[in-house]
Amino acid sequence: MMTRARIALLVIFCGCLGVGLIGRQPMAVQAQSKQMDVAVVVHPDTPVDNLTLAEVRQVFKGERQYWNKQMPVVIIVRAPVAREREVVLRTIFQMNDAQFKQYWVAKIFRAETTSAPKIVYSNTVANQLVAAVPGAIAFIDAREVKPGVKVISVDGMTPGSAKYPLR
Amino acid sequence: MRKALAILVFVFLTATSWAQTTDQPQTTEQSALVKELLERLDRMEKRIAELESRGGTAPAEAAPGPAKLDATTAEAMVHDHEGTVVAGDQTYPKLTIRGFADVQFGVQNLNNGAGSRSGFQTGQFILHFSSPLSQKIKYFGEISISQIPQGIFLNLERSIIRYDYNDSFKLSFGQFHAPTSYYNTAYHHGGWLQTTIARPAPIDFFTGPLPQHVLGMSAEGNIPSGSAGLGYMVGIGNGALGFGGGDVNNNRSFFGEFYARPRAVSNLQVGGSVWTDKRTRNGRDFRQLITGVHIVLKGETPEIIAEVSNTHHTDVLSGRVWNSPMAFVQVAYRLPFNERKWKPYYLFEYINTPSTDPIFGLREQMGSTMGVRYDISDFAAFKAEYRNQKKLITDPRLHGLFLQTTFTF
Repeated sequence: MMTRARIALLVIFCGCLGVGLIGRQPMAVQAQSKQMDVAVVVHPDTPVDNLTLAEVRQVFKGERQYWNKQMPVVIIVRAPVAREREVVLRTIFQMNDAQFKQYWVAKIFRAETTSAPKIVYSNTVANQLVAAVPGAIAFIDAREVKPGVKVISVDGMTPGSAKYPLR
Repeated sequence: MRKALAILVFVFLTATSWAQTTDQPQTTEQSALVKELLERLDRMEKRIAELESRGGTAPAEAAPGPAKLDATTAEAMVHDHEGTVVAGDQTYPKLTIRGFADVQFGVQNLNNGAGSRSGFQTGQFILHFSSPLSQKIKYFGEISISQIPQGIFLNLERSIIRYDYNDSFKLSFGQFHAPTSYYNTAYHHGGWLQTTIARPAPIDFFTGPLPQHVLGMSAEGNIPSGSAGLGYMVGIGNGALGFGGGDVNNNRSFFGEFYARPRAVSNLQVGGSVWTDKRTRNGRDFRQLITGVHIVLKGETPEIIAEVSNTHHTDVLSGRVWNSPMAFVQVAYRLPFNERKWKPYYLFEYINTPSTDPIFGLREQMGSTMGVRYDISDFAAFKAEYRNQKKLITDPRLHGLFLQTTFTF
């Protein structure tokens, strides 16, 4: 016969197990917390191979709008809540999502540009668009970069380097 | 009156706290769900690519890399922030319309023996148009609709066509915001964009002395300068009375703005502007020279906008001069909690024009504004502010409480 103390211990154990199970993150979320390098990719004809982080910031913020006088910059970003977008908002824009949206509304209002960055919902589509659109630039999980796009180094470092800044 | 005001304040606070309690958990849950769905989408696309390459259904050159797109497919896959399909980059013109509007309630002359005034007011209803006409030619337009005692006032605020050569040289023609003040070009009629309800006194829509629009042409761009991040705008226009064609005299105004956005300090902009014109009053001509400097920290932790300017008028015949200094400082800080929705702010403004100034007349304005902005969503906000102002040294202080909801659509 179980004593009250044993019952109490069993209840506590089950409680802990329950809390552990409920609190356990799904596999996808756990994988996400691992370090992920975000590659900056451009159309193969784009006349750059390396940019400083400040220059990447200038391009993505729409302060540099032309690669050269014939090739405008076409910015492609992932839709909200994608991990790549979080990395870029934190490291390049230094904004949260609301500030990012407000930034582009303000930029169009000031007649500095006619449109906000193009939004894509997956890395596959980002790869395809960058490969297809001259002047396109996007950021993609480095493990999912496909041939047909050019990965540019940032501050002389490529994804996988110890001090790569976009992760 | 006080009862009505108390009810309004209560409604404002209730609305903000309601939005806070209902939106927050839902947003977090939805974000997690969307994140998970996006990850599943990524995994599925990867899997499909693998299966296609194994089955040999995909074109040989596309198997290891991204499938090649034609322009139509690319168009269908790209969306803008509002979720509407963006036409391909080869399709011109491509008109985008955005609007700004607001509604506010104000009480002025609180604790004033003369009695207080209060009431609701609609702000300006703004429609902003932008459309690329080719890869390097862009059009921007803006109209405002205001309710005035005489009826509806419709006004063309901006109409600009811009030719881009490269980042260093962009040529514009039309009516645009005069670069006499950073604030004037950065926010203007976009009330939702600005932190405060009212604009700083020197560039107030109705009483601000500084020129706000100009009809003419301008060149602007980046100056290749490495980490200094230099930029410029220079132009020529009809003059300060920009609406309906321009100044009453045959003299052109010249203006320029230079700024630095040093890469070492994120969100910092330091700059200066010059404006020259000839103004005519009662048949007499006066040379106008406006010089100004600004320091702006655009990030919101903190946000600082400080501007100082001096307007120098010279009587062309007698050589007599008048100087009118003006300044304002706005400081705000986006608070870290509650999804960073709250932003308290303070604005100090100052104008001092001599009583004999032939263009401005006597203005000795000094005032403070304290308030808070609450972003109820990414595109709508509530603002509440208290203003304490004095128009002239001899005038009594004006106290006012203002509530506003402002949004973009």
